Amino acid sequence: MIIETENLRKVYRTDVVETTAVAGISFSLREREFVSVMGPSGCGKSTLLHILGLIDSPTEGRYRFLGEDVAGYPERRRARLRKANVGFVFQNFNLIDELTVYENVELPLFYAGIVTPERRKRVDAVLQQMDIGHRRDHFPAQLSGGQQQRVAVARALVNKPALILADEPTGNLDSEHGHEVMKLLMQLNEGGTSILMVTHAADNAAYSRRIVSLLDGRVVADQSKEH
Amino acid sequence: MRNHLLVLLRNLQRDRLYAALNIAGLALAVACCLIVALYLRSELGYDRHNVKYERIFRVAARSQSAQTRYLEAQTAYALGPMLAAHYPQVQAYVRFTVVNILDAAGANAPLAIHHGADTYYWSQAYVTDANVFDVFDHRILYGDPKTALQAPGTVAVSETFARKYFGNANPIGQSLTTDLAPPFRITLVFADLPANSHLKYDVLFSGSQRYPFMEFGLFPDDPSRQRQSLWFANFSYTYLLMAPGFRAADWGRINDGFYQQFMAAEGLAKRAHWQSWLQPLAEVHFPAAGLREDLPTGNRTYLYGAASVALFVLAVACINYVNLATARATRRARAVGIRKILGESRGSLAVRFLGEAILFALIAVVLGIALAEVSLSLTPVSAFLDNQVHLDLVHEPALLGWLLTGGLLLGVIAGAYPALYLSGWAPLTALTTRQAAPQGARLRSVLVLLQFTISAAVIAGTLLMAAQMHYVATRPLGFDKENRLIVALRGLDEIAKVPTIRTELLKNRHVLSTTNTAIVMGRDVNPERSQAEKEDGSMADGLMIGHIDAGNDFIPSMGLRLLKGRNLPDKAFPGDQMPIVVNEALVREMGWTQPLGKRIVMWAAEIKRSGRVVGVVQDFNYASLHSQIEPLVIVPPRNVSDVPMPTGIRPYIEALLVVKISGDEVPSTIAYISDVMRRLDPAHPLDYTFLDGELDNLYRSDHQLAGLIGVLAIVCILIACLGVFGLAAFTTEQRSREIGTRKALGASTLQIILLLSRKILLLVLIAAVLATIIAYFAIDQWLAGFAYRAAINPLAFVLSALIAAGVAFATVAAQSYRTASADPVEALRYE
Repeated sequence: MIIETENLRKVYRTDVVETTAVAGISFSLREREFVSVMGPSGCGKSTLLHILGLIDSPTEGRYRFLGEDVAGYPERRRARLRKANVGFVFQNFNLIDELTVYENVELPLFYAGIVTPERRKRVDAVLQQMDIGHRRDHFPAQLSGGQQQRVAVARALVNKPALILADEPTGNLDSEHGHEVMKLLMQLNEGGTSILMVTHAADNAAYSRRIVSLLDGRVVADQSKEH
Repeated sequence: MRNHLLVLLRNLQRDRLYAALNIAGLALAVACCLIVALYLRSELGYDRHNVKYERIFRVAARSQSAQTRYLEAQTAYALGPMLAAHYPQVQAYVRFTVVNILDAAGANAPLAIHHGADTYYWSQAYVTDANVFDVFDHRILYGDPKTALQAPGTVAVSETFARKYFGNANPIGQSLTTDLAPPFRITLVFADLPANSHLKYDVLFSGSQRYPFMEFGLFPDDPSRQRQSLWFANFSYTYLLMAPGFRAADWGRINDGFYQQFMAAEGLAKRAHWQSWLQPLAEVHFPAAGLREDLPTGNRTYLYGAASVALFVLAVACINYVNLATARATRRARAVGIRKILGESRGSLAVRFLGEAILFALIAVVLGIALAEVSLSLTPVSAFLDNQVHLDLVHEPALLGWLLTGGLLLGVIAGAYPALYLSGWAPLTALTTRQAAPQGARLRSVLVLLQFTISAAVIAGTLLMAAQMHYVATRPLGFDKENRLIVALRGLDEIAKVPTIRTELLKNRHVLSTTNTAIVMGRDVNPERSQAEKEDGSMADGLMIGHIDAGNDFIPSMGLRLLKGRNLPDKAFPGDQMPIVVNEALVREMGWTQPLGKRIVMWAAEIKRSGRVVGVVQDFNYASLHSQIEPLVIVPPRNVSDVPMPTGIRPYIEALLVVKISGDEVPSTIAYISDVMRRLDPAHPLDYTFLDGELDNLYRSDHQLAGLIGVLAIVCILIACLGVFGLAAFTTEQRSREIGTRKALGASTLQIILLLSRKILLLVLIAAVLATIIAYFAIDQWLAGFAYRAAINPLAFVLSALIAAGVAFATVAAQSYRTASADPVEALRYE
């Protein structure tokens, strides 16, 4: 099991308002699964993704990631786990503007302390895999939306993570490029990569094997599909 | 590292505006600090080019009686040799005796030196001892320093002097004549002394011969007269080279022993006391308060002020950097968030931002050096600093090292907070934030407030100093100063020709009047020990009264106003019946109800003069407006045939002729005067100044300071503008959607600009209030140095606030105009 949560809660408090984004979610993700988390805007899907991706921490509840109890981990420990095991694909790509395609994809390996020759080898390989190698020296601003997202996927993959988290990966793409990216994710899953995707689009969810539906911070449905 | 640098340079290129604003602000600050630092180095390094400076001391002396107290930087000619003869701690002595007149005025008259048909006047001419080149370091261009001044009739000259008469030729062996003695032979040429030498000279005459003008202080064959001269013949700057190991604290014993042995008996008789102390050579430039000397001196307070100013400017630039860096936080936030999510540590991110700050600072150092060079070469800044500041990295490579190190430090100081701030965000906050955290905004407001407080305070200071300078220039002084030439008459023979000179001058219709005087307003009135008759008829002792020895037409010619009695008469008088005109200050001091007829006795160098008051003039500012008007008398010039002095002194007596001209056709009038003087005194080309110019010179250091503060005001407001410009740029960007929405709802361009500038204007208003308080106290402190001062005009504070607000508004408007006047859809589409 990659992910196991029990009664996970996330509450945001200000001086006047208390907002419960995640209201007690018990959830699990196994190896090689491709899960979509769906729901209307404000249902807590992105918040859940951030907690599961170790970017944020829950207010209450248990969270075991790769067998470790991580709910109370400080950021430094979460960062160590995150960089070794999780790849992210964001809706707005989140590439670093001042780095080239090559340098963006290389970043996770750099932070993981991989030596330069090995980094070069892996980056080249993943750029080929994403069919974006011919743009290695270009900057994000010089790429189309679809190309940028392919770079983002390459960056998410380069460290061979146990899990890829995708937050509305086609949100900023037209339908053609969106399909391209979804096919890519499906191929990665078929190759053995576990994927957890947040989406509000049923078309995208159709690519996954299991759909978890959220409403008001709670799981209201959890269905596996027969392919 | 390479990757870091590459990314830094790319960021610089991508965000050129931000980089330019920061680098410009830092470069201005670097230039300012560099100039001030070089000035401080020069001022604090006075005389340290002398290798033995730590063992060289100048002797200063305090002589006091029940009534008087003198603190003198000049001492008797006999002092040095007497000390050296009796105290082995004194390894050597060197005296510099000004080629001086012995008239009561005691002014340092420039000496006319002739070579063939060329005659020039030299103020920096001294008689000195032959070992001067052993004690003080000079770069010798020609001649042997060991023997140059040993023989009588020899003279060493500066490079400037040599060029003036001889061009680039070697002048060794050439002959010069003066009023001093038989011809001199040039035996040595030395390079011009460094600008930071307290005693700058162009001519050094050998002290191996006796000069008539020094007779009063010599008496080498009469020990008794020599000991007496220690009390009054204070014409020489005496420097001692002390033996290695000497401790300045031991001088007290030496002084006491010397006094007991050579001066105590005389002191007892006079009921007076004399005490000397040593001034280390490196500190002579900053003398003790109250010390009388004729050399220009430094002012430590001004130096501390200059240093504070430079630090202010640096602080303002650093504040700018922090402001701009934290304002850009939202732009950097996403990259920070991604890097953190991908695993970059906070430390690594902080180093990245610090590296950016250091890169900016180093570029700023290079630009700042260039800016400093341009400022020194092409603006009045160098003149404000007495031309002491020189930037020469070619010959001082170590300076470049210091500057780069300073740049590194500057980058760390400026970049520390932004580095910690930007790297400290949690990954999710950084990724999802749309605007800078509120704490950041508050800090930026405080920083803008601080910048404008400093800027507005400096602007107010500049305006008030300018007001005081204007007051000084225009305040009625109680006499007429316009269109007055002061012509120097050298030698008794010339002075005897005064009636003829005056007659000849008055033949020109533009010469309205002439009057002869020993000194003139703006020069030292040389207060003397005096007695004056009290109302009850007894004599009050211990008074110090200044005096102007002048002809009977001095009062009407200078426009002085007689309040009581009459002017000085144009006729001879018995010795103790000298007619005296006094000023109101003396009348007040004595409490006279009936001043006319009161008796006054004055001593000058043991020579007594006495007379009675015949008139009272209205107080006039004969000295600078820094000083109160003190008691003063106007008396007829001494009949020098009555003054016991060696015949050889005759050429050194100087008098002045004040020539009032019409102010029309000034060049031709001066040419006429020059012709008359050449005919009647061929040995001395016309030497003149304008009275108003001399009076302006009294405020030279004030003008310099005011000029520097003005420059500072410009620098501060420029840097503040750069900061506001950058902040406005980012605020506009952040609020672009709001701007678009407002425009779609009907807001005008002006309303948008006012909206964007509202907060900054409020900050400037608060800054103006704070600046008023700071500037008031600072300017009050400076004005305390003037006995006569302009009132602190509150309008200056209002004006400085308006200037600061106007500049801030114009800056914000310039930046936000484009966005404010754009089509609303552009702003809305941006989102």
